[in-house]
Amino acid sequence: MIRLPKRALLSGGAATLALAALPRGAAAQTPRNTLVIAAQIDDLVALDPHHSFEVTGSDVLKNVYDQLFVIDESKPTAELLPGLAESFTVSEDGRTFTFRIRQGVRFHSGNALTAADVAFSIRRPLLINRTPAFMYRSVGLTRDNVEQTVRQTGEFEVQVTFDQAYAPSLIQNLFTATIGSVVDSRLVQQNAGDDLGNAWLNRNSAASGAYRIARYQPNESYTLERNDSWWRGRANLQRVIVRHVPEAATQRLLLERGDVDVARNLTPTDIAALRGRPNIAIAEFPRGTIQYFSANMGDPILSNPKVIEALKQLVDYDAIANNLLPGQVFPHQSFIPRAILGEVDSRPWRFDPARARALLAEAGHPNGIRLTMDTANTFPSLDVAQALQASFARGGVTLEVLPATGAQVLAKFRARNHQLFIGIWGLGYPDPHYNADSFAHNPPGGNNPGKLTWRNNWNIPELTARTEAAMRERDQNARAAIYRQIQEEFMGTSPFAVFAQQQVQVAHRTNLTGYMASSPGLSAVYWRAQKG
Amino acid sequence: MAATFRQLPGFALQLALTLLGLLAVTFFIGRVVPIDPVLAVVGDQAPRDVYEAVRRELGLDQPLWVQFGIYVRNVLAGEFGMSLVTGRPVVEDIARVFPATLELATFATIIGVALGVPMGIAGAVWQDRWPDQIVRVVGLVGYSVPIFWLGIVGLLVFYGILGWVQGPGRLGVFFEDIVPTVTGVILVDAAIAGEWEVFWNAFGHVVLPSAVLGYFSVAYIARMTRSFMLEQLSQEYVVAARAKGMSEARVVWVHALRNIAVQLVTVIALSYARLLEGAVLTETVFAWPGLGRYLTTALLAADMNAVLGATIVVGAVFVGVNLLSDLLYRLLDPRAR
Repeated sequence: MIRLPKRALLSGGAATLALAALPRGAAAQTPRNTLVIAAQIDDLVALDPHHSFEVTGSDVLKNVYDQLFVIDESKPTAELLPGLAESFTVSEDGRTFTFRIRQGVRFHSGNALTAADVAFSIRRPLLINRTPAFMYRSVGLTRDNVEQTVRQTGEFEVQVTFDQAYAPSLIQNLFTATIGSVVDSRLVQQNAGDDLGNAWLNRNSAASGAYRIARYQPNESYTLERNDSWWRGRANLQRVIVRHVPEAATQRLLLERGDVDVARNLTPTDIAALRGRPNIAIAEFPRGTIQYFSANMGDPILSNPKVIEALKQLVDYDAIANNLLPGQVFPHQSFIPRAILGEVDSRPWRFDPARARALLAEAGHPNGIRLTMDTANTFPSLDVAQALQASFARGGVTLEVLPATGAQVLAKFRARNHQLFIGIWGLGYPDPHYNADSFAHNPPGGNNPGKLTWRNNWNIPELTARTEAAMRERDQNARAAIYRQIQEEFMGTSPFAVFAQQQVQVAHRTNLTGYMASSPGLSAVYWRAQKG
Repeated sequence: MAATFRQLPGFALQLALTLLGLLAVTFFIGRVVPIDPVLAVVGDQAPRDVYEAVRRELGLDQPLWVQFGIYVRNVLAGEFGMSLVTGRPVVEDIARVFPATLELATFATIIGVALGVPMGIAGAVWQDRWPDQIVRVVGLVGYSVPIFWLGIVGLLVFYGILGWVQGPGRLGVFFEDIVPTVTGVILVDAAIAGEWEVFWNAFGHVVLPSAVLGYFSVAYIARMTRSFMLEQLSQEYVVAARAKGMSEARVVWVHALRNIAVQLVTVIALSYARLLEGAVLTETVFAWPGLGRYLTTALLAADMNAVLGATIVVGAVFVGVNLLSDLLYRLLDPRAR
């Protein structure tokens, strides 16, 4: 199979770099109290935690803002800890949650954090109505009902009433997300304008977390300064500087020179060259993002389950993980990412061209078929699509790859005008429901281009009912069990071939410990980082 | 000079028409390109209601000509809108990225002129001898080596191995925010503030990328100078000057050079204007937050406010540089006065 990703070959520079070793010991060093990271951060658009909806945004904001609940950073799987909500109770009917708010917490401004800030912060995403607001709408909070559904019932108590009885763990996990950030309501209102402070918060912070945003220039860099009176304890390092460096080879040079502590976006070629260098270590952190391709069942050829089964047999799962994207992904075949409640480790599919040919013959295509696959023209989807072209051919499937810009292919996918679509899917908050809602939920007669099931014409009344049952199940273990069943069925018959889960592979200076480029809480964690 | 002033209203009209035409073309191409700006904002996972709301917010439900009308009206009121990519006013973005490009382009052009013109002249004077061969090889390499590669190898050698220059970016991270922004050109701002440590750090950062870009200017300017000069040296007045016993240096540097000055100014101005558009690849390799990368990022995200704003700047730069070279013609060539 293909040994090197195209991207590494494209940049002649990367190959040159692999040959040249830098003189040792000539490197500079960053200050002991400062973490300097070279990363691609040009997708960072919004700093308002109720507006931001991309991983780069969470990497900043989860280190700056506090939420009602916290995903324990010291555990390998997503386990909940109390955050700004010290405790909570659920009403008899399961719809109303009463949160007891921690006392004695102060915002960076010095204002005391109270239930008023919490209520304001739960309502605000719906009132400013940016993209992530759909996560709150999906549990029945709307712009029009937030005054009634979100109530301050004491100086340190907030009640939220949802449209139905949700699993408590779902609500807790939802409130660990960036959208659950509690903002300093007095400070925001002082700077509100006519947009509830949206524009202001996109360039300032009103937070209580481990760090405050000291400086931010879009597409250039951001600097975080430590909050010395954080309620969870003081972060180890006083300052974090993240600098936008678009080119991987350049990131690598900065790391080798010692001008940065971490290079965040390296290619497998760079990683291979850096492995074993003195003072440099490689580390991997699983992300909540999976890679998949899907088949449109509204298409006459793809409506036959045998054809879809054949396609799943034509993916060289091991080669993708080990040869094409080494270090960037690990094999994974279901829709709940590893480390999240309900994860399953089973991987029923493997590369078997003979079986695929037989299945295609049974489906009435003894001479093979021709299909098109839409893909964004970027790494890694395009690279995998090209590898699939080769492995599909071995089973008699002629694949035409149709690359275009990301927004362009998405428009086609959302309009259901594709045959096959290859893409990635990120978890919005660390709960299985988020992905189940898109991969295994499709209410009949719906028109919802936000759901992957709908985009692929996968009609599943029975699975839809089970996904809804899991969403309401109050017992954690029973809930995990339902998700495991759903996924077994999903892997068997769905028009989705999940083939990998992403991980962040970074290279860092060896004197740095405790830094997490990603975590089960779905963001980078800076406060535990330490330099020796 | 009076004549120049009388032409001013005509010139202003020409400028306005040029920019309006440029805007119209960019605007309509931008709308025809099959990139959905709404998806660029809301992302993959947004449900239908979010999509529709953002579409209305961006005014994309209006007919095209209405959208354009609104845009032009806003521009006339000095309102260039917000960038989708940075979430900030386009004017503010450009005020940040353009000085970065200006700094780079100016240095590159200085290098281009300082080396390119003498090399071109040397090539012409010693035609087909070794100085000429060197000029030709430099020119050939300049035309054929990808700038991306040259940039990365330059970084590897001069920053990575030798440590002679500073790394990527405009300034070391620990020098940020020391000098107040006046012009946006860090070297100038540092000099104004008297912060010489910042100045030298910024200089260490700009040297390599501008040398890489400048190399391509050198190649271009040297080739053009060489051919202009060759043409002049075969003219009769040169023979006459030589026959009068004038020194060769005087023939070349005074008589011939004066006669190619106008052409040379055109070439240099064009090359400068082209650099002022921003150099995407160089800016990417050197993590240089300039106009080229801003425009490209905006284009790929269908961020039309940013694209249009940057296009106006590029258009204005071209017109401005043309105007400047027009004025220089008048100084250099008596017939043009």
